[in-house]
Amino acid sequence: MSTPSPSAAPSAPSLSAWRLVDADVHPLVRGGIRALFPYMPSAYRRRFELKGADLRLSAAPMRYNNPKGSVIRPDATGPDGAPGGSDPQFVREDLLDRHGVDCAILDDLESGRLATVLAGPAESVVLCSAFNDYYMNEWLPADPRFRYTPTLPVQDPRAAAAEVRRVAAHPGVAAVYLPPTNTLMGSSHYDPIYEEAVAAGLPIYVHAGGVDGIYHGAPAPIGLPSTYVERYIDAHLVAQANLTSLIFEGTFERFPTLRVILVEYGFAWALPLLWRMNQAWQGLRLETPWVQRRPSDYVRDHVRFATQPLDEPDAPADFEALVRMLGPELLVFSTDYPHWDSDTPGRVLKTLAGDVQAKIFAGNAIQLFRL
Amino acid sequence: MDVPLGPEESFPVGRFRVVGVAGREIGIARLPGGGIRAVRNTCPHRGAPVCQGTLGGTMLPSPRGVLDYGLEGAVLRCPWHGWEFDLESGRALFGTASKHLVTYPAAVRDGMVMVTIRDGGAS
Repeated sequence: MSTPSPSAAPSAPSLSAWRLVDADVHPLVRGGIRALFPYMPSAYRRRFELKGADLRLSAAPMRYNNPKGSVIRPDATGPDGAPGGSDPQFVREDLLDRHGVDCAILDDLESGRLATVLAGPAESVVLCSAFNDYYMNEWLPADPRFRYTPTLPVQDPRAAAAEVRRVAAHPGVAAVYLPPTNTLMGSSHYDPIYEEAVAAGLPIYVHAGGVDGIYHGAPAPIGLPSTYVERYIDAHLVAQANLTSLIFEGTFERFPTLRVILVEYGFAWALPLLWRMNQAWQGLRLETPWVQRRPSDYVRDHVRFATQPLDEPDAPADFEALVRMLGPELLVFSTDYPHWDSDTPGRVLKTLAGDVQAKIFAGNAIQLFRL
Repeated sequence: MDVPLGPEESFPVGRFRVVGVAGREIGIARLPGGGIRAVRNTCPHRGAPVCQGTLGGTMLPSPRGVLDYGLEGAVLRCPWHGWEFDLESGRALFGTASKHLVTYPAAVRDGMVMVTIRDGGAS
């Protein structure tokens, strides 16, 4: 099939002067679940009131609380005490204006956790829709540099597909956020979602959860770590397992124009994974004959990695070598603002060559998100 | 050179107030147990406004399962990636990093906080 690959057929960047796109910024609903009530049917408001439901930044048990108390940077607190990420005006000043960010992709994690496991399937459909309307109404108009990734109610793939249809026409929607579950992404469970995303021309945006390894139904590839730090270090294993699944289930053969970005998993792990996938495919191809190209070729045409959290080898030259070996066209810059481990523009990736920086800081994102 | 930065009472106890000195941002804090510290408001890791971090103590290196909290009032923890620095020497604690926080000699003379700045910046 001669469908153009995403890397070969970028939309013409309408704003080619953009030099800095941030693919991972976390907004926060201000005021708890009541702020979402205007965006949901009254019977569901009543249901959530009766349940005493609320939104919580952390859905983790004490074992996985950040040892410093919060994942949100204290210096990202707004002037009136608003928690970091909850005041669009302050995010404009503290991130966009201060660092010259031309475009920020917003993704909300509370909705992702609810969609994955914390809400029931029917509740999560209503909640995702309410979250999405909240951000499209209350954040996107606040600044033309904001883009949003609507959260999909992943427990119900048909409803999730309908949500893609509902939000796709909004000009501020850059991708759709598929929170990972313990059903790996190559499963046909997700086909209705991929079908709609492809029809809408929107990439699938996958972000590290917050419920991973804690609840049945969430991704759980790493046993039960004792501490926050162990869980943090191994978070990318979820992405690795899902990427392997996407390749060997033949997802990109079924959906030749599907594009996926893996966010907040870093990327240093991806290079040996590509080597291993290629090698295993050479010897075991007969088990998955629908995998018709080298696995790394699918990745180059369909998958991108958001850069944060950047790994820091002792010798900076090793980092440059890693980027060269993996391929800078696969990388999309992200800060993870306002979280504690964010990568700040102007402070990172400075040793890379100018043309490599231009791709990572803007060009690749402009292509992927068709900005 | 010695630079007067203001009356002792104008600086908080247990957290930093940042002032501009000769083109630098310097954070001044009075310690809960007495004494005063001055540091440059830039984390050597990624340039965070380090004085917005936490001034306190931390867990000391210890055997498995043993927690030993100490160094109260001697540690500044960066608000971004959580790097911890000895407020006196500017060194990253326990050999966790080789980069130093810039510190300045500070003292109170006749009720006035004085900081010593060398040409070139760091003490």
